[in-house]
Formats: sequence, C-alpha cells, structure tokens
Amino acid sequence: MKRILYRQLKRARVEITNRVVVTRVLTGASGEVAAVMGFDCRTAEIVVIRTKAAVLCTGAAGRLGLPASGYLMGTYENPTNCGDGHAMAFHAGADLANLECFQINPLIKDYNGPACAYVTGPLGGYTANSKGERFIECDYWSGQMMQEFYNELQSGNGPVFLKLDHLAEETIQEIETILHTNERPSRGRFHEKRGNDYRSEMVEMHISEIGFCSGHSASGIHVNARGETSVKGLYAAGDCASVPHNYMLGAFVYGKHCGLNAAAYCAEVGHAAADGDAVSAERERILAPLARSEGLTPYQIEYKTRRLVNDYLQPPKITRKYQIGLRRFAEIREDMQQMAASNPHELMRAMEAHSILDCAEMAAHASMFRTESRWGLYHSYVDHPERDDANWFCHTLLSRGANGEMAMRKKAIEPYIVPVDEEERTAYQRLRVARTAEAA
Amino acid sequence: MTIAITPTQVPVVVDESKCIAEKGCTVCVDVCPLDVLAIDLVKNKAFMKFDECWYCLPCEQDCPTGAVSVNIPYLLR
Repeated sequence: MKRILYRQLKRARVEITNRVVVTRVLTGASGEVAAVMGFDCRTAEIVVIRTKAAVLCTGAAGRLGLPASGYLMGTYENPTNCGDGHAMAFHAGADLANLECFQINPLIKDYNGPACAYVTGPLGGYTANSKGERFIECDYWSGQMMQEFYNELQSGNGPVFLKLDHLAEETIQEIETILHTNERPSRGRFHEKRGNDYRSEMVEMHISEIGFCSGHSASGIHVNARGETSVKGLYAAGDCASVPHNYMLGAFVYGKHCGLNAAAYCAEVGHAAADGDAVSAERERILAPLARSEGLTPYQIEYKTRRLVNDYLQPPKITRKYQIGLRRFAEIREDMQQMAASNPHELMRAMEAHSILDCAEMAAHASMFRTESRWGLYHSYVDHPERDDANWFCHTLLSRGANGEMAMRKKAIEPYIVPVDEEERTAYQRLRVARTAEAA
Repeated sequence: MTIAITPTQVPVVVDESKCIAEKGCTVCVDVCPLDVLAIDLVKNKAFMKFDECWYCLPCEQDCPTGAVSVNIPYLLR
C-alpha cells in the first residue's frame, strides 16, 4: 500500500517532507489554521510550515494502554500512531467526539495481533471458551463482543481461544496463507516459536489494552461529512477522525474528501499569521528535554503513564478509579518537567509521551462525562450500568476550555439517513449463544 | 538524578556479511516505521539502534540481500 501511495505521490510531484515530527497545529487570530510546527527526528531542527489548511491522518491512539507483554511497541496499532493527532487537535481547539468509546480488541495473547476469528469464520473457525464451545453468535468484533468475552472470563470458562483444530488440512493451509502473509507476516513465526499449530491446539486470545480508534471503534477528532473539524482549515481522515468503523476504505474516502475540500478552502482564503509567542513556547517545549543531561527518560514516563492507564482506565470503569487515575496523571504531568532526551530520536519519544499523557487525560474526562453504559465493554461503567437513551442518546464532544482545561458537552445525533429496523436495534443484546437445556 | 543504561537483546539481526550499507544502501533504515534502524558509521553496516520494534517485517522483506532477520521480541514470544 505504501509503495503504491509513494509512486502516486512521485508521479503527481507532491513535495514530501520526511522525518519531521509535527507536534502542533498553530492557529491565527480567528482560531483558523496558520501553520504546523514540529522537529526533525534525526537532527532536532525545529520546523515551522506556514499553511492555510492541514489534514490530520495520524491514525489511532495505539500506545495508550500498556500491552500484557510490557513491551511498549508490542501494540495492535502501528506504534508510531500514538495519539499525536488527537493531542494536536485538542491543542488547536478542535472538538473530539466519543473518546469514552474505547477501542478494545480480541487479540492473540502476547503477540497482540488480531486473532482474526472473523477471517476464519467463513472457513469454519470460531471463537471458543476453554472447553472449545462457542459462546457468541458473531465473531466480528464489537463492544458487545468484548463484553461477552469479558463475561466468559469472569465466569471461569476462560481463557478464550481461536478454534481451528477441527478444520480440514486444506482449509488450515488456506488460513495460514491468508493470515501469515497478508494480515501480519510475523504471526507465523510467533506461533512456530510457541509450538502452536492450528491443527492441534487452539490459539490463546486475550482482551487487549485500550486505545482510541475510529476504524475499529467510534471515536476521534470530530469531523463532518466534508472531513472538516471544528477548526477552520483543519481536516481529519482515517482512524484519528470520528467516522465509526471506517477502516482503510473510509480512510481513503475521507482522505479524498479532505484533500479536495482543503484545496478548495485554500483557494478562497489568505494566509493567517501564527502567533509568535505560540511558536516560541512550542520551540521551548520541544527542545527542553535535550537541554537536560539528567532526569527521567521518555521510556520511564511512557511506561508509567500506560501502566496507570491499565490500572485505572481499563473497563469496567469505576468513577473512584478514574478520579485516582487523573491524580496520577497530574503527577506525571509534573514529572514531565524532568524528562530528558539525549538525542533527536529520544526527543521524538519524549514528545510522544506528552501526546500519550494528553490522550490518557482525555480518555478519563470523556468517560466520566457519559454517565451511562454503552457500546458493551468499550464504555462499561459500573457506577451507571444501564444504557440511558433518554439522556445519553447523543455524541459527547471534548474540547479545550478557556484555561486549557478539558471541557465536555453533548451533541445531538443527526437524523438517520438509513433507518435501523427494530429487529436490528437489539441484535447486540442477542450476541451470546443461547444454550437450551441439555440432558446430562 | 543520573541516567543508567540497561542492555537489552534487540529483535532485528543484521548479517554483516550480506549487508551492503557500505555501498550506500539504506533500505531497511528507510522502511522502518519506528526509525529504529541505523547505519553504524564506523562499520558501515546496518543495525538496530533502539529496542522499539513492531515486528512488522518490511526491513527483512525489502532488504535486497536478505541480510536482515526479525525475531519476535523476547518479551512477547
């Protein structure tokens, strides 16, 4: 995909600036996009690019929770996608939608790649409990599916597995070809090292750590049908934009809309001037870790932040835990003043640690605002266990308040273009396999 | 507070007898999404500089001489 994209960019003679980590979208006097700012991750040179419009396509926030393995980059999402875009949008004054709708995935334990039960489904594979029994009707993941997965573990029937050992040899070979070449090329060698053969053993799965993603979930930088965020000149596409379940196809469609609309917008407006003070402040913030020869490392700050996300934000959500979590995050915010980086690559990790902490705080605030449970495990709220359509059939929007604080508000749902059948409205509540009474 | 260095075994291994970085090749470095591969300017060979690997495999697959092998990181496998 990247090679094809690269060739198209070259053919169209698009100017590409590589290795510059953008940290902030800078705005002009009326809050419109004026520039983007960042640094070169090889040289630490500060870069400010004047622009009328910007399209954020930074992907999911995939380094929010800490994986079970403890390896910072052993994530489901590409670990370069660490929520920079979500943080940038927040700091630029844009709204972010439904951040309480976490992404939580059914993954191969430790490897953290997708088990892909839904890929094997048409070929006869399925998600099973430790007895090899099905417990959900549909293996396509959803918040409700993750809730059922969680319930199955709580009821003592865990771990949950991907079951393929009942399939024919040719079918298993076909599955191996699909999963080990296309989806995750290193999956085969993971299984081999573990002595996991689909023919003889079920594959252990687990409930992943949390993240923000619109592709697999439904949250992100709020955009309208034209890909516009709430900041003039700022657009967003793909997993960082709040178009639920849009995946790669949606990313390309919205990428196109954003590109065309941003270009049209540029033709109509002049350049805004970025605030000089904002540029200086950001330059100082970026370079600060390099000026310290002693202190906390980005690795330590990131590991601790993400471990705390696991401890306090992982569903089921509990208000008291969220309150404690926010206090812990505030302490890390203080600790950031001591963060040191010894080279430009470490500086990149240091700036990523900032974005990760921003996302952790956003995840906490958004979750406490929606006082109901919705979307299965994604926003399973112990203090408010029922769904409350009367008060909460709405989006939530998180934005930056006057004093830089995280402010929450509701946004009404727009009228449906395609109505949902009554029958389908309750489909998620019928996900668990119904067991009829069995003879002993 | 002072900083210590903790050694760690990295997932990506480069067979220096096959690596042609001394001829100017930087394919593995260019293709890594985490920017953790680098060319050692003394040996003129590629190596994994930071233990921050996504085990995604483009470095192994795109290397023109088959010099790069990716192991699953120890903490996962």
